[in-house]
Amino acid sequence: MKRLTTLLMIVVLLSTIVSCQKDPDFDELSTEFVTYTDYDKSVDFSKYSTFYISDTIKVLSGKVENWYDENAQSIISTFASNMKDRGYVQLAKAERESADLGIQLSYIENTYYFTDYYSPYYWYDWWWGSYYWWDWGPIYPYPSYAVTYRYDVGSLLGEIISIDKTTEKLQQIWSMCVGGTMSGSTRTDVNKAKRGVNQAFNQSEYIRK
Amino acid sequence: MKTINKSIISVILFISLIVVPHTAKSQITENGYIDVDWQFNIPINTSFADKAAGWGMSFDGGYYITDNFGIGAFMTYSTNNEYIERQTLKLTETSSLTTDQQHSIFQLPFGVSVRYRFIPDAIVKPYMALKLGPEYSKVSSYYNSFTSSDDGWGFYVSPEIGTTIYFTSSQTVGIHLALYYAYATNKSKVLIYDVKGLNNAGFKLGMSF
Repeated sequence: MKRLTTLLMIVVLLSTIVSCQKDPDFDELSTEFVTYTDYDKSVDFSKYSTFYISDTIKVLSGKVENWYDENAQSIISTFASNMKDRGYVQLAKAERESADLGIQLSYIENTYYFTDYYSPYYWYDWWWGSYYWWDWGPIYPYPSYAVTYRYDVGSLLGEIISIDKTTEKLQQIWSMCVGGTMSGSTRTDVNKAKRGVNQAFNQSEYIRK
Repeated sequence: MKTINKSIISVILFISLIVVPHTAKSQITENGYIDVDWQFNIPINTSFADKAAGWGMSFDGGYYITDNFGIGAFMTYSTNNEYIERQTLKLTETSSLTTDQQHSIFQLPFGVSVRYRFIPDAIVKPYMALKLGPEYSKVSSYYNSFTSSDDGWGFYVSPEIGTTIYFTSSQTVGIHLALYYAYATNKSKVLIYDVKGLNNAGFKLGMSF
C-alpha cells in the first residue's frame, strides 16, 4: 500500500510539473504577417529586364483553384509594382514568351505542417507546364534553409523563376512566404498580405535591375 | 497564469497532505527534510530570454546522515519569457525573416543535493548546499502562429545558501528561504539565436517539512 501511495504521489507530481511550462503572452505579439524570403546567391538579378506575373493566385486547398477577384488582383498588383519599382518591365500575357522572369503567387489554406516549401515542382506543372513551359524540363531550386513551418492559418507564397531561353531551363531564383493568423476580415487580411509583399521586397534589396 | 497558479497550489497542497500527517512529531523523519518552494529565476546573459520571472518551483528532500551533513535529491523547473520587437532576422546568407517574437526558456534540472547546516539544534537553521544533475531545457521562439524550438539535455550545477525557520519547538513545519546560482551546459539553436550554456540566479521561498 505504501508503495502504491508513493508511486501515485510521483505520478501526480510529475504530471503536474510537466504541465507547468508557462506560455508567453501571445496577445503581445503583433498581428502582422510573418515575412520570409530566400534567394539563389549565384544569380545576378540585374541581368534580367522583363517579367510576366500570372493574373491569378493559385489556391492550394486539397484541389487547386484559381483566385481571380479584385482582392487577388490587388495583391498581384502590389507585387508587380514592387518589381517595376526595381527597374523591371512588366509584360502582358500575349508577350510572356519573351519574359526573362516568371512570377507565380499561391495561397495555402488549412495546411498544418510544411517543410521545404521552396521546392514546388508541382506548382509549375500546374501553371507553366500546362500552358507553355511543359517540355522545357525540370526547374532547379537552390539549396535553402530547411525549416518546418506550421501553416495552420493562411500563407501567401511567391516565386520568381528565371527563364533561360538558351538552355530551355527554368530556375527558381527567389521565394517568399507571407503568412500568419487570419483575422476573419478579408479586407484586413488582404492589406496585411500586401504589406507582407512590400516587406518581402524591403528585405530583398538584391532584386534590382 | 491561472493554470500555473493552480498547478503550484495543487503541488503544495498535495505534498502538504502527504507529508504533514507523518510529521506530527518532528520533520518528515527524525533527520529528514523536504523543502517545497516557489522559485523566482533570473537568467543571466542567455542572449535569448533574460527577463526575470517567478514561473517556477523547487522540490528538495533529503536526510541528515550526521547532525550537520545531509544528502538528498532535488527537482526544480522554471520558465522565462521575453518579448522581442519586430525585426528582420538574417537566418542564413540568403534567407531572411521579418517578425516579432516571444522567446521562452523552460528549464527542468534534477539530481542529487548535498547540504551542510551550521546550527542543527536551532530554530533558525542556515545551510549551504550544492546540487548536481542533468537538466532538460526547451528554448522556443513564438512568432505569429509559428514556433521554432530546440530542446536538449545538459549538466547542471547549483550552489545555494538558505535557511529554514521553525516557529515551534516541535519543528514540524517551517519557512524555507534560499538564494542560488545555477549553471547548465545546455546548448540550443533557434532561428539566429545560439544559446550556449544557461546561467541563472534567483531565490526560493516556501515551506520546509
